[in-house]
Amino acid sequence: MTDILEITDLEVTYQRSILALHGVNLRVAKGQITSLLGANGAGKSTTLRAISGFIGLDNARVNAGRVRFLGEDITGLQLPRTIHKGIVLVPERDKVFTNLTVAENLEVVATSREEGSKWQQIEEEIFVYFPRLAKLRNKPAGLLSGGERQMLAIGGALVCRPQLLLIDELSLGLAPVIVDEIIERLREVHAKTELSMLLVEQSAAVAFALASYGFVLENGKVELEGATEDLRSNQKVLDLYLGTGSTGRADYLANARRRFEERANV
Amino acid sequence: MSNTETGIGKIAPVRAVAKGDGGNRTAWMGLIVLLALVPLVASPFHLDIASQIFIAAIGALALMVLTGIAGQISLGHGGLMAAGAFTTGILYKETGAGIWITLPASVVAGAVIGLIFGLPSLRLRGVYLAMSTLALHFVVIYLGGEYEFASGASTGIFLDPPVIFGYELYDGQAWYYALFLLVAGTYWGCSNLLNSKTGRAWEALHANETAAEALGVQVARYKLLAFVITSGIASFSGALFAYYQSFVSVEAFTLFMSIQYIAMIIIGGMGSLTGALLGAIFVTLVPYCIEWLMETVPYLGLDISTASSASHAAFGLLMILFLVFEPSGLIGIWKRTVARFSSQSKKEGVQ
Amino acid sequence: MQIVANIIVLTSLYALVASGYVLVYKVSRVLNLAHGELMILGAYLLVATSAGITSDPLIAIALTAVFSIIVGLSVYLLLMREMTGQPVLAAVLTTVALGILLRGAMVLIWGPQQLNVASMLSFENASVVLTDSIRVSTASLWLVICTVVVYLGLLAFLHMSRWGMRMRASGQNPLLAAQRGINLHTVYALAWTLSTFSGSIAGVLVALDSRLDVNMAVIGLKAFPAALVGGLDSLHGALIGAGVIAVLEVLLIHYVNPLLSDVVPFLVLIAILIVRPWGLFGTKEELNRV
Repeated sequence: MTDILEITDLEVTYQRSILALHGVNLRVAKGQITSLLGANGAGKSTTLRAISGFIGLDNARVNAGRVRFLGEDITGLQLPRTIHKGIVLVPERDKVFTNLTVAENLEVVATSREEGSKWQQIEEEIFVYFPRLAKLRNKPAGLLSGGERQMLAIGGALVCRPQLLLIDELSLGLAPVIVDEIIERLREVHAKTELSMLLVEQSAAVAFALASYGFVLENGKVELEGATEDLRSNQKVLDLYLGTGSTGRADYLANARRRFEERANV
Repeated sequence: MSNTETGIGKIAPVRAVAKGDGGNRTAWMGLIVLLALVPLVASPFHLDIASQIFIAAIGALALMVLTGIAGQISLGHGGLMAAGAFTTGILYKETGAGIWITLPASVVAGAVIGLIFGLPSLRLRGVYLAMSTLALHFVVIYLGGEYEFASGASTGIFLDPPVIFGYELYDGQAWYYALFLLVAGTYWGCSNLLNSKTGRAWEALHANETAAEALGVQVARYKLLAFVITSGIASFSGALFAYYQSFVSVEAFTLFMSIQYIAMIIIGGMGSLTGALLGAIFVTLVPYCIEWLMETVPYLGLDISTASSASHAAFGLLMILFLVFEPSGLIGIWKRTVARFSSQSKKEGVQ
Repeated sequence: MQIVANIIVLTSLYALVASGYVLVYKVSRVLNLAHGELMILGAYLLVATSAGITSDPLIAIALTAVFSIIVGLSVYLLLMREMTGQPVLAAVLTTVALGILLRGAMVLIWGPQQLNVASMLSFENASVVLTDSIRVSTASLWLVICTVVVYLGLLAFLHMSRWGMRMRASGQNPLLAAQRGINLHTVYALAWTLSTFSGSIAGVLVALDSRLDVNMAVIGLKAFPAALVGGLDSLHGALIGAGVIAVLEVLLIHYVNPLLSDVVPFLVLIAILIVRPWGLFGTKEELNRV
């Protein structure tokens, strides 16, 4: 099995001083869905942004490490070049153009050069994946619910014809029913297109439902990785991300405090 | 941290400058003595330029405190100066009041208008604030024009030289010393203000208004205070301008004047009082340099009718160059030069 | 009834100029305070082409249109592009500087005197009798027609073309636009070009209707309140804002005091800034960086 994306020892700093990632290693296998689990501030979004390209405004920089995409070194490649390579991100926040209608949100994408009838086809394709969007076609995206926005954002990203789809916080803030629906839709997309995906999640349940392999990120480092079945049975993951019992979280907090004090003593 | 509001010049060198002042006290004293001796050798023409620089410097210091320190943009500085000039002019013309009445009255009028200028700032930021001050500029100019029209003084108001302690302030040397003292006083006052609680509050609301509010800075109060104080000073310099020209007319207070003051603080270097002085010198000298060019290089095709346009163009170009290539202004260049030399001399010292 | 015609003509003028502010602001959140000067530059370009290249008025106007597009494009590529990522205020001050630079340069090139553009082009600005009591000049009539055409064209472009959609999208969410592969520089350049183009049309028609000198750039500043009243990012808002300003200006001049003409738009501006800073139809928001 080949890897479409390979990250080695990635270090990212914000504003030249704040270290957000300290040596992240991860891989995404071609045609597979890979998950990246982690708590708030673990560095998940930064990892995704480092892959999909920062823009000047972010004031962020890759300090060390390599990002390889399809065997090619793309470290530090900026937008929109990464898009042209086929890496497309569904961001966590502000993921749709609120002043555009649903259909316009799909059409506005720049990379598809197809015109006219071909365009209709692409759009219909997206509506087949997300039939709910078809009914909302002419509604401004600003009036959509959170789940509908997520679907539209994924749809918009798919129009870009990605080879690797990065999704930041798929389930955050969405009702469980909607999450289930989106998971179902993404499974369909994956079954049809075998699109490689990297899924950032805080909920292990969602990650495990979709991904076949997973990484656990903590404090800017990969703490754990493995096939979903292995992670599923890992006690630490169970405690932290499936919320089984408060003891696990208490342990984790105690550990974190100990680590912090150790670092402070050094 | 960069400033999100005005953000030009990512340095906040207020304190650094203050420290530098202490360190270089002898240099400053030397400069003051030197400046005090200037009138003994300078021609009336040069004294006139120096006096213009002094008047501009007072106005530039005010704008620097408002925009460079407190982060409140104003495109209406010319309007404020007009307010001061007209208060003085109207008081003198209607009542014959002396300078001890007209100057304080101008300051008060400026402060009141500053309060009005400042009110929109409680709701508006950045671009919108800039527009409201621009609008107020036009309103003040309109009122001035109305007065000129109504009082039949459509060409302007003439002023006699002010009398201070029985001495008529008339000749160039006297003006030079009077204005020199006033600039020094304004500079001293402003730098003390910046090192006070007020100054720190201004810096805080410049850097991040929301954070400042969260930290307990009374944002509304300090914003209004910034407008009131600096407008008072600006109006004061407008009154001095009126006396110095012995003439008040709306013609003098164009939008271009406001732009010139903005040019002073950009070119001088945002956030630095010394920068305001440098900017005032620079901007006042530009038209003279262009006149000089006109005389020395005749085939440029410049003549009297186009000289002012040439200086407009020059100001535009200079502002653009500074904004794009040197956002920290002349003071930034100066500091870099000093740093380079001092590091060199240190190296030499070690060797 | 003549007063209604005057209001419509003035509304058209302000609306046409205001559309330029709206385009640039909507897309890049930059307030272009050099718009008045760019507008007048359009008229001077017509003077230059008619004097230097061709005497045929129609060809001269067509060439002027092309030149104004080049001007708009170069303003973005040579200047405003440098300000990307800078604080909005630095960008606004840059446009102030550009305005004063253009103003000076135009006088240096074309002289301070008033030019009679209509006679240079042998364009007869006869007054057209619409009804017994209403007459307007030919140039004013063209102004109204051009404004209608420009607005219809812009609205169609923004809502029906792919690039128009991209402009709207980039204005609303530049980061997402970049993440969807939209080249922001292209979008911004497009906005500046269109804005300068529509401004130049206004400049040319104003110059044909009266005379041309640099001080007419103040029309640009007076049209700004129109854009703001409607909401800086709303095109139809600008149209309505222009109407409000024009009605007030014409009525106050007619019934109260002619001197008010210069100050009315700014009084309206202050009023709207106090009551509803984001305008009647604008989006309420706060942005600090380009």
